[in-house]
Amino acid sequence: MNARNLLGEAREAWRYRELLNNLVDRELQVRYKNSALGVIWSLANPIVRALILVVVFKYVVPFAPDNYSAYVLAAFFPWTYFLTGILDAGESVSRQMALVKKVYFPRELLPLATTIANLRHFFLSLGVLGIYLVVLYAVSALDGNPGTPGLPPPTIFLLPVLVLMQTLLIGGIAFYISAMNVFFEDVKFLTAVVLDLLFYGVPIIYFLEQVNATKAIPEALKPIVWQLFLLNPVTVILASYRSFLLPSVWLEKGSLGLDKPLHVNLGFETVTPAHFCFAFVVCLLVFVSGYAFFNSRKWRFVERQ
Amino acid sequence: MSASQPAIEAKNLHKEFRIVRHGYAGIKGRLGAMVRGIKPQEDIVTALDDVSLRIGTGESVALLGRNGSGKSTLLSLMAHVMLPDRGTITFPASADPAHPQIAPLLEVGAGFHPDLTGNQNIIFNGSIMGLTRREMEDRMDSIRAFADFEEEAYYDAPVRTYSSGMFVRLGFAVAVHTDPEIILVDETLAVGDEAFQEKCYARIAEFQRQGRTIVFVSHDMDAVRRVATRAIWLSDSRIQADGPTEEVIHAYHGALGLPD
Repeated sequence: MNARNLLGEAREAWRYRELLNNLVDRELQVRYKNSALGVIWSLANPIVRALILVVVFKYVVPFAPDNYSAYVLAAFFPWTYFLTGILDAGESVSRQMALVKKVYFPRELLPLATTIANLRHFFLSLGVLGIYLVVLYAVSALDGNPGTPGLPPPTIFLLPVLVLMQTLLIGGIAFYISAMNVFFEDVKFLTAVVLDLLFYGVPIIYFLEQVNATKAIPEALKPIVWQLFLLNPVTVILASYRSFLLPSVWLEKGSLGLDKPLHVNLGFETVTPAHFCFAFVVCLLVFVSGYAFFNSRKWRFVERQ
Repeated sequence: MSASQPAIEAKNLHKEFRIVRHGYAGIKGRLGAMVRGIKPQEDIVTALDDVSLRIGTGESVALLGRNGSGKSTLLSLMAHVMLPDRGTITFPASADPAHPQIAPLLEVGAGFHPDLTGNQNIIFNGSIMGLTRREMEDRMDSIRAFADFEEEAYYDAPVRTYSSGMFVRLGFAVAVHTDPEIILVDETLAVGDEAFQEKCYARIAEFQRQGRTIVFVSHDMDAVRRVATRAIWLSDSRIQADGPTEEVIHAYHGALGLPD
């Protein structure tokens, strides 16, 4: 019952899957405890965000390419999953210390439950995005051939892989920070700051391809910067959501401040299969190493001063 | 499950805690101590030192001792929320020795979420103890009868609206309905009104008749005499005396300079 290997720990956690399920339900029940509309808010939130971005990029921001809002949303919703998943996970153990001190259950269920609860929310926003994209494809606003309804790229079938690797990444980071936050409450605040910065370091409000086109980065440094971007699994994940769901476009000169036209090929040409596989391995490693880290600390939680 | 097997077997348990003393907890404290060139002072407090004991199936054992004598640490090791630094604690008589069914009546209701209703918390608390939703729903009537709230509507109200008495009653009601092999009780009987306390004692007596094992921590010697047939006196992290309840209480009170 004492020291166990990682697989043994995972098997022990699996025994408690019913509790995991109840923890997820509880998380969702509590989130909208005092609201009359309850879970409808989970749906309202992405809808309102989508509407705002559509209006902003259509009427307010000049030089935005056609359907820019769809391209932003395709990365923005996954980013929200990443952001809330990690912020919620920070306190997932420290908030439950009363329980942890009194009853035995595999402690890793706590960050896992937070992650799964956020995954369920993400499915709702993916649904909202899906409906918006169906409309755009149906009115052939997203296709090169005017008049015929468009189809999303075939890579759309890889979407489950993408959701899986993102969830592994979030779960892995959740293991690290939920365990650390028990001992150092600073971790929670530090995470919030890092995530605020990261928002601008990954392609959400810009296209990944613009990194190569911008004048802000000296030519000599561009190959390095480009590789640095692609080594970041969050960049790969967000860029891939776009490329898996949306067709490639030509950005005209002048749009988004470009001084020459830029082809945004969102297939596997920008994020190469090698980069994609590398990112997948990184996500998997973060999850497994996070689990090992969490397990090495979890018996000390109750002894925290 | 053989009757000769002990319910709880502890061998040479050793547990110590590190208490770091510097101004602030957390990173700031560590950094501050580093900048000022202060080495973090770590005090090592030994909570249990070479404690071995066997508790037979169906025994009711009370743990006695002053605050800080190691009682709570021993109970936490039995509840498997802590691991010993050295030594082992096993549950040979359990149907599944790796997963003994333990009902920790330590701060009952610890798992309650204030924003969920009584009913929701019943189901959730049950699942922490390893019972399915279905099993808890089957017991719902019995649990409610035990908690015995004045109005049915309270079960559908968030538990943050409960009085502390109601909170404890519901917590206790859930805990005693989870089929435990081993029941750990920590001062919980001191709460609730007299009628409820009597009900708790009756339930404990029922557990005893059913041959379940009870480990009990209390400073209330009347409660100890009533429940336990055997007592273990812990002092300075070690077992000072272990034997029939009256004898151990006598020795314990003698050491404290108190009358029986």
